[in-house]
Amino acid sequence: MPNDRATVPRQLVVVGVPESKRVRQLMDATKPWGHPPVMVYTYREAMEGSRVPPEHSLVRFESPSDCPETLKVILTAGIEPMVVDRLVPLAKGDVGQLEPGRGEILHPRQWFLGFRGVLRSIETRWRDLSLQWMSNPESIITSFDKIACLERWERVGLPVPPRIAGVSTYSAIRQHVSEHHARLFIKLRYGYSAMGAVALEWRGGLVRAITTVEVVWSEGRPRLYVTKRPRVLTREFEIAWLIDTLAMEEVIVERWLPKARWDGRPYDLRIVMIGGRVRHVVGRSSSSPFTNLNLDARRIAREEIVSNLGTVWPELQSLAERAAEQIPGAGMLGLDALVRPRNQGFVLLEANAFGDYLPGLLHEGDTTYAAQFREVYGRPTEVCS
Amino acid sequence: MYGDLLDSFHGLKVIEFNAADDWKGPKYAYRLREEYDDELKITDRLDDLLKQPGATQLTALIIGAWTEASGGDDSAPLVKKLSEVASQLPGLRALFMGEMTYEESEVSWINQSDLSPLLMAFPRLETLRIRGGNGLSFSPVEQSSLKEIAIETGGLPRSAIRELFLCQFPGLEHVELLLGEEQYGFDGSVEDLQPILSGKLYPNLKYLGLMNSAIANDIAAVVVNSPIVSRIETLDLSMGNLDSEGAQSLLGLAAYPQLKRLDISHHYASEESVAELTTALKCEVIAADRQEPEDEWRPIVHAE
Repeated sequence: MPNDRATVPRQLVVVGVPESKRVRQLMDATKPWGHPPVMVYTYREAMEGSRVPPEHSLVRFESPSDCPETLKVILTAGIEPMVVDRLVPLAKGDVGQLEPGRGEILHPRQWFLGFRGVLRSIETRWRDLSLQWMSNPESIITSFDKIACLERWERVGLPVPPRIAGVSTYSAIRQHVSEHHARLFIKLRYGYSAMGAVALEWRGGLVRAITTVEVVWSEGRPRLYVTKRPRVLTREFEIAWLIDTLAMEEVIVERWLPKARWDGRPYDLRIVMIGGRVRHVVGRSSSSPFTNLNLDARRIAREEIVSNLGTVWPELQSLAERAAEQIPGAGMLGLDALVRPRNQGFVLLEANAFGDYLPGLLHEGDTTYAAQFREVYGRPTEVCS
Repeated sequence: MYGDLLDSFHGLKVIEFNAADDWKGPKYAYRLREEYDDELKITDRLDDLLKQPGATQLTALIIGAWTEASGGDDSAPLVKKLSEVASQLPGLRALFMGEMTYEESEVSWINQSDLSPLLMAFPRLETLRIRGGNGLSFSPVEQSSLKEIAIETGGLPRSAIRELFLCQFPGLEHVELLLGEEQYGFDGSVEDLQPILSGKLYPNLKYLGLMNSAIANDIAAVVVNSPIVSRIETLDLSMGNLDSEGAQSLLGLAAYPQLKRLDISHHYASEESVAELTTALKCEVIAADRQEPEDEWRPIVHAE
């Protein structure tokens, strides 16, 4: 991105949850540039037009996090597109009544459709303001649809896990798999942060599932949560119920591929792409099949990863660059990639539009947020007041 | 459940061996394991390992996940292979058969086999650890070097316990039996432990572990009156479902002044009964990881 100072937008507009850690850290990261003016809008304010950015602003969308207010705005926006897709939405009155628990999985498909609607309506409303997006709305929408990302990568021949398409029940999945011993990974199409993930394994007549989902029954109704301590299920009816329940929100069924190991634990990589280039890289090792950092995976430093990958590191870099190219307009993208055992190649797993929340992780002295401001503002010393 | 693979074994740092690049000399313990669907087999890795300079001096080896361990096959082909190459590993003192995490295989899915051929093939083996109780058996064997045996299961079949006690291991100093629970294959009772409790086996036994047991209270009640307890230094009843009743029984251990350590970690005993036990016994009492019962259900550590 050129750092032509005449066109560098000075006003930063953040759309997100004002009191969230993410927004606070994002604002802190602007300090070296002499505190450029920052405005923080909620998604509701942006969508309804009660606040409108000055022309030529730089706009950054932040994660809606787990803010109940924002959740309701998004789910409400998802009602109409659900109906258009001939699905039964959670009605407006019920959305208003929601009391989301921490880590609760709430209508991910309606959430996605709603978030897509919110982003598109903001884009339309702000169309004539000559804004600069740090990541444009369409790139964010694409990243939140796991299948869309995988299909884009597949189309250009990038490696992704083999998928079983078009199955939506446990029994359909079971019938589809003929091997005596099979390992599958099932995740919500519109999930994030290890939400609704199941590692499923069959051996002959035996079955087990390791999952991040915790089910709590209250008032005769199941509520699904993300748990930090993955649970092992060995009763088939319980596994089938869980998968069928998740599948109502659409799931991806793919091969559970073996991962390379770090100190005996499987690991994968979060690669932060900024301006299309590989920046922060963090390995995430876990004793469970789920390596999300919010599930307490151990971090592995970029230098260690680079040194361990040795001659195949450039291959990973170019793979990540090509993967990012398929999601144009994303100034930042958090890519997840798997390293095959014995470093024999890489597989792309997913993209994360807000995959840069990695507190304390530095690359060339910058946090992920600072690195993005450097990309758009140039070096701090160049900006004199 | 087993979350992590070992960092060290037999006092040596563990290295996973996949190819010649991984060889760091014989002063390490090497782990041979396969990934799910791995084309390179443990036997291939072993052949390669044996070609490394100084491989004959290896002292410790870990056999980790074999692909077919979860695919239904048992450890028999690996036992055979190891037995065949035993002459190339004259220094081997410690062997772990079946070290796998739950991510690699449920403990109850690991299919073992008759492991006595290993003890015949390695007459100087001192430590044998085994994970997985399915199909585990011991044909009669005499091996006088063996000092330590550990069998980690979610359910140890009575047949394996009986066969183990029929083998001659006069040098044994350390026994750990993770007995498990009925649902995963433990079909025995305290009666089946009589051969070891009576003190007739293993004259040099110092460490007795009857662990991860769903009948920990029964074991506690019997063990305090068993001849073996007057000879051992450590009694390990950890990982099971011992509660206050079991802790009460263990007060009887005060009669054995030579006992140095009692471990009941992962237990369901009340704080008062643990305090009473700690006061009554002169030995060290380790009672970490107190569990709150989930209603009437008192899970043990490894039951899957």
